[in-house]
Amino acid sequence: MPQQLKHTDSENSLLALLPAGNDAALLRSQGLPGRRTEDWRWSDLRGVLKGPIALSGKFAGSMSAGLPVPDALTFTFANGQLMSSPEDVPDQIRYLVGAQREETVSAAMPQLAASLVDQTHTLEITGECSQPVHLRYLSDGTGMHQTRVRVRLSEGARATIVEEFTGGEQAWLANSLSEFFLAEAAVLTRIVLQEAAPAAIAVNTALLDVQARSRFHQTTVAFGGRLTRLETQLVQGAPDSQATLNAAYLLNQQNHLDMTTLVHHLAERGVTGELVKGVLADASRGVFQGKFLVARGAQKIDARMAHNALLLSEKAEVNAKPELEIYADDVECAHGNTAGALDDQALFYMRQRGLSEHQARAVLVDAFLGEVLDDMEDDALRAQLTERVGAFMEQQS
Amino acid sequence: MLKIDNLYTSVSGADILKGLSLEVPAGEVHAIMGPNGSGKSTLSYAVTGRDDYEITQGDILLEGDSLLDMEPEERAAAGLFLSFQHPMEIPGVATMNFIRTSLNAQRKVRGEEEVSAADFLRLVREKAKVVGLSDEKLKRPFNVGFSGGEKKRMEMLQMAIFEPRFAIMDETDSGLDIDALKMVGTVVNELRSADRGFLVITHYQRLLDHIKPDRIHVLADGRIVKTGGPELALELESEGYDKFVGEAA
Repeated sequence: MPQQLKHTDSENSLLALLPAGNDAALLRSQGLPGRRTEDWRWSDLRGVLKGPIALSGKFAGSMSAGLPVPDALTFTFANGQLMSSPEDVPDQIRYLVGAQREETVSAAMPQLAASLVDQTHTLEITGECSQPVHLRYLSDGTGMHQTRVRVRLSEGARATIVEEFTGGEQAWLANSLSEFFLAEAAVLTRIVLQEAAPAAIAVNTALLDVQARSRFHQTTVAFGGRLTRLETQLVQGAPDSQATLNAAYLLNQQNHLDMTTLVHHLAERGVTGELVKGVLADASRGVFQGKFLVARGAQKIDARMAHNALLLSEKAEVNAKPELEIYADDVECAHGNTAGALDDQALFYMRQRGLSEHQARAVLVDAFLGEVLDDMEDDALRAQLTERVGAFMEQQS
Repeated sequence: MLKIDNLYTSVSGADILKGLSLEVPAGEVHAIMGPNGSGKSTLSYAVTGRDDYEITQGDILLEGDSLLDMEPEERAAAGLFLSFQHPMEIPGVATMNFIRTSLNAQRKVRGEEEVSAADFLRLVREKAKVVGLSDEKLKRPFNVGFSGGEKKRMEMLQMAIFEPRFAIMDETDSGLDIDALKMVGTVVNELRSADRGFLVITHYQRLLDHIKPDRIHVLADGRIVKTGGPELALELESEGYDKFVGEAA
């Protein structure tokens, strides 16, 4: 019997919130994840959360327009509650809401979200859904809230899901769980935009289970918060599936962002490409943890991971842990990791041609992030995200 | 037009230029020759305002105005152009877009109208033909995968487009074949006019066959040790720098 954990005030308050019969085993046995948890050691949630935590009240902020997604089917969640949904959904989509609380999740934060949600929202998609689905998660106040959304694509289905996490200026805590199931030959594009106030804490865990010949393409643009974590766990359980996990993170002030991914190859001929680029200004902190796990017998896997960080300030910090764990002998796996500053010579060259220092820095940052955004198929969404990146650079003096 | 007055420059604590004085009147082309390490590139960076080149004494004036308190981009807008000895590759930056943005940034500071995309395209096409850069090269990210010679052509393309008041050409001839040297001569000679000046830094006489300089200065140990007419280049070519370096010491 391991030594009994002494729960913090925050943990005790969370345990007290659990509905009867739900033991949120991981929270009870291990506490909140933090620096003593191997895969959270650079994101000390346990240490950051002080004092008892209450659930969020009703959302009082404004329902701003958010990311313009042309022709989208928009579902808006505010402080964990569904506030609006499309009046009509096309035949390819079925929206279900239920109170499922089965424990399928083996990590503390998504397990906690699954334990505390009132409802699980499920989208079942068949055939080709030409309208993007826009899931907006708004947060405000000072409490904690959670959501659980499941998206199931049936065989050969195609869809684009845009998940936008944003909120007001207070110190809210949002814990969301996004689950995706891709049946054979299904194609899913997931776009994530994460913004949070400097005082806010946000954790999103995306769990993906993908079947044979499926294709998954993810692009994330994230701006961090007091402590934010975007985690993607993808299991390729059947052969010939392809996944792309691209991300750009842009941090300033004292914002913290943790980008953690795990791709588990269980079957043959899977392809994974991961490109994560970070721009860190001021005293911001970035964390990248990427892991490819290739099981015995999962031959002919082609998996490539790269993380590049650009530090715009001497006070900015990035911690990176790229990892390959391979039990098959006929695979091609690679990872690369770099961190550096903007090239002074290039800056001077551009200024000699007439660009202001600010312009030159913005052009170089844009060029640095270009690869991530260029890889997006949707022109309108690429333009929207490019604009957000530009706005970030505008703020940097 | 460009007047450098008793200039002292230090780089990372080392004194490189030690009382350099030089004047290039409008309409003239002057050449600077000198042995390695004499301070030629330092001079080009000091004039264009690179951060890490500290000016400890003296002044640099363009048409009577001191450049010392101006940012590099302000100097560019004032009409100062440097053809870099080692031009940068800038991955991810679209060439045409970069040159047009630069041109318009300069024009904006001067209170001139922006050049439209269509006019710019025409201008680039015309000048690219002169410097010998293909469309395919212009479509690449800036200088990416270019040979040394192609990078120099890109410098000349920008000089032809920006039409600077005063251009410093830092060893533009190094690494160029005969045809490319001729091209550099063509670009400079097309731009030569009564209100423009050029300072051509070179090791060799051969570029000066294509660009006829009005004056030649010998730079040694951070100072101009000899100034003369075009014939000085021939003298240097046959006799080397030794006797001038001796004089500087």
